[in-house]
Amino acid sequence: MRRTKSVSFLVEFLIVILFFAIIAAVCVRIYGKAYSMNDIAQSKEQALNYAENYVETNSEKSNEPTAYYLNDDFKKTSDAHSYLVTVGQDKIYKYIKIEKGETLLVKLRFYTSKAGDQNE
Amino acid sequence: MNKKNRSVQLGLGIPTILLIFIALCMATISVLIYLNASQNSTMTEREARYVEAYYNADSKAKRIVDVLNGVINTNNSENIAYIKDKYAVNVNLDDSAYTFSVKINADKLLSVKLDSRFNVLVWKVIDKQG
Repeated sequence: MRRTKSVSFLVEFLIVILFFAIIAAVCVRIYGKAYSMNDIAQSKEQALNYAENYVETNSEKSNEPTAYYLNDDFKKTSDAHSYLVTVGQDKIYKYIKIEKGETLLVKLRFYTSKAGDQNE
Repeated sequence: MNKKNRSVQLGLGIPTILLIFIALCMATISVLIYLNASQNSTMTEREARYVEAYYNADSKAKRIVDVLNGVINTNNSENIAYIKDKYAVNVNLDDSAYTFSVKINADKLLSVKLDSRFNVLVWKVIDKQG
């Protein structure tokens, strides 16, 4: 009788461990997805702040198209690091684009009459 | 004999009850974390869209100011008609002040008012209804 009870308990325990493993795997997946979403959102917010600052402080300058890298603290760095900043110009408008790897985080368009095409 | 009676035995069903409790806790925490991240992501996305739309409107308005004050060579003597045609923006001239609005998004407009010397008097975001 006691042996049967122990076997039943063992079987139940194994089934519980199996279900626990499945639930834990699903929860870890959800957590991983949430972490990744938060990471992208945070990068996007920082990139947006950087781009806005850039536009507000450089909109009166007629600076040349350029590209440079930023590290995780959004400080300029010479190595190919986290963020790639590209400042360029279409026909009329200039733009600043910030990418992290293959992901485009933000692209802001701005206008400087000094650098812009003087003909329509 | 006494010792045997005192030994603790987990009954059948206890691990299942524990599993249900732990699973509910884990599921609740995971869902809350996911919802928080999702909301954060949506808000950042919305903010990014708005900022991009604002700077599009801002640069368009600056360009229109340059066209109005003649910095830009449009080969067109009637700048106001040219702006309406090219940028789909109506420029009004009342009491020697130029006013126009550039659409930012479905709800917001960038309202601009210039004096006769094209100095900016008003450069602000307004609600479309207002």
